[in-house]
Amino acid sequence: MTSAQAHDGETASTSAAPAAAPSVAQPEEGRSGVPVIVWRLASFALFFAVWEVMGRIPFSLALPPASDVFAALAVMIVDGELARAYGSTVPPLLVGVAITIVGGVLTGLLMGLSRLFEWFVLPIMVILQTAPVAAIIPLLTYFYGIDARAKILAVIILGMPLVTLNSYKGIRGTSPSLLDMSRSFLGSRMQTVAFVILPSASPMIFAGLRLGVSGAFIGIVLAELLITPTGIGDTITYNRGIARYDKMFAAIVSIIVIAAVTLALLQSLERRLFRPEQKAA
Amino acid sequence: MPAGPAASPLSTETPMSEQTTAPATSSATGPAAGGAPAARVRDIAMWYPGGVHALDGIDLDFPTGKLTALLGPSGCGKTTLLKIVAGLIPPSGGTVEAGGATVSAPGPDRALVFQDFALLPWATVLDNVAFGLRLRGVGRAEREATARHYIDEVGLGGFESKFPHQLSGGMRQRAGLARALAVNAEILLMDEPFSAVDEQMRRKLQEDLLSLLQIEKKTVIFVTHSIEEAVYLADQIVILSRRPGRVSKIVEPDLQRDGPIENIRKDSRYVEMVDDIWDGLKQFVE
Repeated sequence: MTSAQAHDGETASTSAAPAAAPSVAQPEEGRSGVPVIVWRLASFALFFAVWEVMGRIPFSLALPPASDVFAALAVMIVDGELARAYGSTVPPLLVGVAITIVGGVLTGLLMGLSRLFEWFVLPIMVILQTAPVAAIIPLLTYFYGIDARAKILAVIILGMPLVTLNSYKGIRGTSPSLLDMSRSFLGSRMQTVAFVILPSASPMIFAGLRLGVSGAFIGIVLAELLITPTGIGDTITYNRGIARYDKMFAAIVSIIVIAAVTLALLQSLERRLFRPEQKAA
Repeated sequence: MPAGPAASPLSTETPMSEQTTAPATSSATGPAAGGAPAARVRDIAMWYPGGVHALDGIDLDFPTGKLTALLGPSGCGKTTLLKIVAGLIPPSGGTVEAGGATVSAPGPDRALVFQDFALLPWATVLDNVAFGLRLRGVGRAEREATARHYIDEVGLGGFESKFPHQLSGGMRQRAGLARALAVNAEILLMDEPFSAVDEQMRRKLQEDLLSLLQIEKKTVIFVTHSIEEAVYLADQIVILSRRPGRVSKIVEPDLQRDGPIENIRKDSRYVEMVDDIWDGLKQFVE
């Protein structure tokens, strides 16, 4: 059998001959032929335009126009107010996120690989995931006072169940046929976990990480609003108190930007590490 | 059901060296006339939890260097039997022997080809074909050289760096076949390998499989629900009854296999045999 034989009558879904790969570097395009990035920018533009109009009517004194908010954001960056606020927000956030990621993925792995661990941990995770956490977080003060540990714990409580449950579902979702394949080709348990189960679960694990990191940002802000008036949460509360709504919204916008950038970095890390086929056309 | 010849189970012959490719002449000599079978199952029974009785009293020899088709209505336990021979599921009763040794787990003498291809979607064709060797600890350079050889042999040359989702169904199964060949097992276990591709591609794959087997000389156990496929490919066809699966009949298509492969379908005995088997199978189909 020659390779020429295989090609006739058999067309790959890409219909591209392997030697003559077409230029893959074309920008993503939507159905209408307009690059996707244009639609995304249009979405942002529309959002801020509506905001600007509402602010100028004015709809409420507590909703300054978008332009004022961005001006305030620039001022806060220049005079160091934001940097000072994040100085006390970021360290507990990072510690909390690190524990959330490592602990969450490990717990999810163990749950996915061991029935006993699954029975033991699943109820706890479901309780944590469904509990009204905002009502519980102020209680952390009783354990840790207004220590950074309270913030870290708030981050973990909001982030970890999402990471754990997604990792667990991803691992359980591994195709039985791939597991049979690995076993029939003499893969050990460790090899099957490393070469089959983990890459197969990685989209779910990373989806969990994205949700978990979003949860962690909510956790840190909740903790700073509800327990320890420091950091970016305090910036929000303080400026709301003195009716500087432009600065308050600027602080919120800064959190959104930082969270969005973190999530985008996570996504590119995943593609690089586990799923090279998502880059191929 | 012919009783298997009393060949020594501890035969030391190497299946690869056997080249008894003369067309199966008469059923009087029995399927294993060429020597000890590459694999045999004795009194295999299978009950699934919940009381499903899948297989009952299966006694079979799989002659060395021959292709045995397991044919039967859906749900008759053909795939279960294949997975038992593969060592993936333990039978509820009975024994499996391959190469003279009792089988209780997957081994280097058996390689599987899967109905759904079972390719790693995140790995290239090259990495998929080399996967079995990687699990065995073969170094990268060596396993990739071996993989490239079999990729060429199954007609996938030039597609080494493609991912499975970039290939058609037929090409994916070529990769699955190359992966099974790459580990150089004596026995190929194929689970309805061509059922997920379209009719024309299936005919092409069947023809290519036969020419490949003329080079590779494997013992093949081939699960199928297609009578035509079984008659076209097999040296021995085992017809299983409906659940619980029992061996209902064993036939040996007496077709001219040493000539050009295209001639098999033109052989008048091919058509007769397909009709015969269908007459026997009808009773099991609702």
